[in-house]
Amino acid sequence: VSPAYDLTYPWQPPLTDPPQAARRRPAEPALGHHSDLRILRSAYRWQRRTATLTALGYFTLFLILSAFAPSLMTSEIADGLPTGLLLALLQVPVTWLAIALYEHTARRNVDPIAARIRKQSEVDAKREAAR
Amino acid sequence: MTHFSGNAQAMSLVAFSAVATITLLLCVMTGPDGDDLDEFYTGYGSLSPMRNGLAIAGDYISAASVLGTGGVIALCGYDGIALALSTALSLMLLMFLLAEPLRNAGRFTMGDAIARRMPGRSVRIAACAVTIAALLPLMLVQLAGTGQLLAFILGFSGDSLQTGCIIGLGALMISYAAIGGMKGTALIQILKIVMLQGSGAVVAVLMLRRFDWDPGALFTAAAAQSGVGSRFLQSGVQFTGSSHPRLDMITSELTVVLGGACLPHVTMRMYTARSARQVRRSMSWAVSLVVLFVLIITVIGFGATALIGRAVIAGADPQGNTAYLLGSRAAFGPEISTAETFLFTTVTTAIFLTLLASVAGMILACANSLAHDVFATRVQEMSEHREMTLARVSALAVGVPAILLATLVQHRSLQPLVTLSFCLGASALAPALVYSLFWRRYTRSGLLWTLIGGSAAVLLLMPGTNLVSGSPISAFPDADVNWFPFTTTGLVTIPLGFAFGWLGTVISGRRASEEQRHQYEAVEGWILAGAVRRSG
Repeated sequence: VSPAYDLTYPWQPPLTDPPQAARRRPAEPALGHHSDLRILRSAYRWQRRTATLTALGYFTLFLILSAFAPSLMTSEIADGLPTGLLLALLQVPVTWLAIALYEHTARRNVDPIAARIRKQSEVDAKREAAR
Repeated sequence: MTHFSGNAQAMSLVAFSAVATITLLLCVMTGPDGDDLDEFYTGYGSLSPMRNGLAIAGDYISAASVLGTGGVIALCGYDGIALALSTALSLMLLMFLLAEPLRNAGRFTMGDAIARRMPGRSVRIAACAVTIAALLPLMLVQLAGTGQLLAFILGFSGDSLQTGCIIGLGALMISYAAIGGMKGTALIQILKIVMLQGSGAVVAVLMLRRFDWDPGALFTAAAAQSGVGSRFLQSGVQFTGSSHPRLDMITSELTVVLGGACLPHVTMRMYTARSARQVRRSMSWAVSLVVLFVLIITVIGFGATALIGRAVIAGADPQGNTAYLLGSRAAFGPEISTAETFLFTTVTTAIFLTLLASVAGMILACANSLAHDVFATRVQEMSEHREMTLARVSALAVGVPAILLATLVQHRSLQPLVTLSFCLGASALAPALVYSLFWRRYTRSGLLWTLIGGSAAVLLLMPGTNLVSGSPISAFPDADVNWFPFTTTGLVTIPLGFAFGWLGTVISGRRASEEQRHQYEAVEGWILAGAVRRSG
């Protein structure tokens, strides 16, 4: 561990990585060990997985039902409107809802942490430049 | 019933010329004026989220999807709606899963985004090759479709005239890409999407009015006119000829879902946003617009069948590519006033503009990748002026072969080419993007395996699928080499693409993937939070 690293991150325990891995790494401070980044990583991961799996899951279910449960999908709910078509058209408002929900949660859970990390790295970069 | 009146034709011709002139002028005015690469490739992120969203939607809704999806809805009903929904879902998944990290990791091209962690020429060249392989078929479809569509709208027949149209308009599309760069084409995309959605919405409203605002009546009338009765309103009409119709339907739609939004001409618009939050806003606009378009095209497609019958639509074009236009005209009723002729001209002009804009966007994506990933990395420190000239020459280098090929394929069924694009997107690009953005141990050989192996699998399987040969509507109706009884190759190649990436990573050994993990952690703040402004 170089002394420069201690100056930049005095609050962190020194790295214990094997030396050759450290040599290959770029000169920037390793952001991956920040706890903020860990929080952001899991927030993003949760958000992404839930959103993606829900959307994909619903659509796959719709396709499977269309293919393998024709009797359910053709039973008429209203006059001239089979269940299948209704489920299909329902996806339009559901999509809009999903986008709104995604934007809302991202703004609340992800953006503040990302902003903090960006700020932190800017400060780091400035310090680095000043040295 | 499938010919338009002389009045409408004359008006369309005037409108097309006007649109071609105005858009070219707009490109010249808004194109980059200095030798600034950032301006040419991304337009400096100068677009507001709403405009960027419009441009994304514009790039995403290509002419092939308007005309093709409209046709499938008119001919197959329910299956067509499923296809349209897959298209919308694909863009939504792009928003949820890839858009923000892609914006943070990439700079100009897909090669940039992927090579962020694993620098090297081989990666960039592979990315460029897959970019071109995935977009070239789509460009061919639209270029060849241009000739057919103009012949249909303007009412001329004659092969040489159609070929002339393809060459002339192809030249126009190349100039959009070369002169306008990202910003110029964005403007055209915005113009196009506004026109397409605006005219489409009005026609859809007129259509609903003819059925007394009752969607149920519309569906019933369409089913009655479809020739297949109530089967029109359930799954299965599209894939009746297939030996595994249900499995074929599911894999086809999922291939569109995974492949559609991963195509490089869509992902390149992610890099033009200024921040992750902006990209999210832009995507919200884009997805909303595409979903709205699903509604519009559903109403027009069903309306076309309900008003003029499936047989007439299939007679005008076996794939139903003209259904959108036929439906739009039928919505006005038998007596067409001047105002209605004007409105119909707007619809045809919107389609014309869609053709121009989508090919221009695709040429731009290929040219950027060729110039930035392949040529600019060959020379150390290429000057910005040279790279920009190179990008413009690349537009020519991509566009001219595309035009020539399009004149060769224009009389064949173009459906397999569209499918080929989506399969490449889903089997090579989607796994490569997902792995390289989220999997820390993913190595360079894993990436190369994904890109090359996934594409090779698609290219090997594709000639054996249903649409290429073996049936009267296939591209080669006289031949029969149909040994893979599905419409798309997705059932095999998508899992294969992901498996190749995993296998390549495992084979490259523990050390390499540990190293990659460190590399990834070094750039993770960058990819997730957009920390450390991207340097040259």
